[in-house]
Amino acid sequence: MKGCLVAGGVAVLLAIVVGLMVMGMYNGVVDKDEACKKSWGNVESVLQRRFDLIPNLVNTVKGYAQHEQGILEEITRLRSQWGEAKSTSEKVEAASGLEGALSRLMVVVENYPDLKANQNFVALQDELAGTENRINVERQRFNESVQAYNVAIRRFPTALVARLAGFQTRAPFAAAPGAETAPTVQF
Amino acid sequence: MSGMRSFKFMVCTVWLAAVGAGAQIESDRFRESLVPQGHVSDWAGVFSPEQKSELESRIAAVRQATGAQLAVVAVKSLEGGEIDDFAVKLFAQWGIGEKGKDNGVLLLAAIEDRALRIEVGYGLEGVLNDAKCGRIRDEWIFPRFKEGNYAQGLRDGADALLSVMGGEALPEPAAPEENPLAAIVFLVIFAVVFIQIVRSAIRGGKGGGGISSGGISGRGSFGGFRGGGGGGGFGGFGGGRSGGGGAGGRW
Repeated sequence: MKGCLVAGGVAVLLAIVVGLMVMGMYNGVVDKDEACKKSWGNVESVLQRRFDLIPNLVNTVKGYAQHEQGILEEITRLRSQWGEAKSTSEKVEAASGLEGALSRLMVVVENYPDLKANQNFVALQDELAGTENRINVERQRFNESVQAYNVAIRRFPTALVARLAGFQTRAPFAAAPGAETAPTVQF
Repeated sequence: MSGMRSFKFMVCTVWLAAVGAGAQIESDRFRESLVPQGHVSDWAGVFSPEQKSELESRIAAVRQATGAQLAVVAVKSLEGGEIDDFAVKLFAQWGIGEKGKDNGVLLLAAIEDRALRIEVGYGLEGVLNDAKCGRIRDEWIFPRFKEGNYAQGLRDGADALLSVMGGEALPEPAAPEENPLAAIVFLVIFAVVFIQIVRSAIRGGKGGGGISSGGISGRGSFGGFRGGGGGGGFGGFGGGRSGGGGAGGRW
C-alpha cells in the first residue's frame, strides 16, 4: 500500500517534470517561429519601400529618357505584380524581377547626363541605394532567425516536440540569382 | 591540358574564396575589439584632443536636449570588410541610440579605405532620410575629405547631422573660414574662467601654492566645462538599433 503510493507519487512527479520540459521546448520553438514571422515582416516592409519609390522614379526618368519606355513599362508592370502578389513566393518573384530591372535602368541612365544632374533624381538614387542596403540587412536578419528556428526544430529532443506539433522547416530568403554580381544602384 | 587549366582555375577560386572569408573574419574580429571612446572615437588620428573634446561636448549637448545619440567614428581601415556591413554591425554592437526609440546615428569613416557611411537608427529614418544623408555626404563631408581635411569634414558632417537630429532643417553648408566674433567671445569666456581658477587656487592654496589639479577639478564651473567635453559625461550608448538606412560611398 505504502509502496504503491510512493510509486504513484514518483510517476506524477515525473509526468510533471516531463510536461514542463515539453512545454519549455514547445514555447522555445514558438518564440523562434514568431521571430521568423516578425523578421519576414521587416523584409516585406523594406521591399514595399522599394516599390513605393517606383512611381516617383519612373516619372523623373520619363522626362529625360523618352527612349527607355520599354524598361520603364516593365518596372511599372512589376510594381503592379507586387501589389497583386499574395503568397510569399509571388512576392519574392516580383521583388527579384524588380531588382534586375532597376539595375538595368541604372546602367541605361548613364547615357543621360541631364538626368544624372537632376536634384530630384540624385535624391531618389540615395533613397534607392539606402533601400537596397536595408533589404540586405533585413534579409540577412531574416535568414539568421530562420536558421535559428530550423536548427531548433531539428535538434534532439526538441525535434520530437516540433514534429508532434507540426512545425516545419522554413526556407531562407535567397538573394535574387545574380544579385551579388549585378551592378548595384549606388555609384 | 584543359584538365590542368580547370584544376588551376579551381585552386584559384578556392583561394580567392578563402581570402574573402578570411578578410571578413579579420574585419569582424577588428570590429568586435572596438570599444567606444566616447561619442567620438578616433582610431585614425584624425582629431586633435581639443577638436575631439569640442565635438564631444556638442554631441553631448544634443543628447541631453533631445535624447538622440550621435557616434562619430574614424578608423584607418576596415581590415578587408565592407563599410555598409561594418556600420550596421558596429551600430548593433554599441547599441547607439535609446532603447525602444532607436534614435541613434553612426558617422563612420575609414580613412585609408576612403569609405564613409552614415548609418541611421530606425527611429530617425523619418527626419534623417537617405536623401538628406546623401546631401550631407556630398555637400558637407566629401568636399572637405577631398581636400584631405578629414577632421573638418567629420565636424561639418556631425554638425549637419546634429542640427537635423535636434529637429531643425538642414542648414546651408558651412563656410570654411572661422567666425572671428565667436573666437573673441570664446577667448573672453576662457580668460574669465581662467582668472577665476587662478584666484581660487591662490586663495585655497595658502598664498601661491600653484595650480594643483585638485584645485582645478574642485571648481564646479570648470569641472562642468571640462566634464561635458572630455568623455566624463559619456555613460555608454543606450541600446538602439538600425536597419541599414542612411547613405554611404567612397570619396
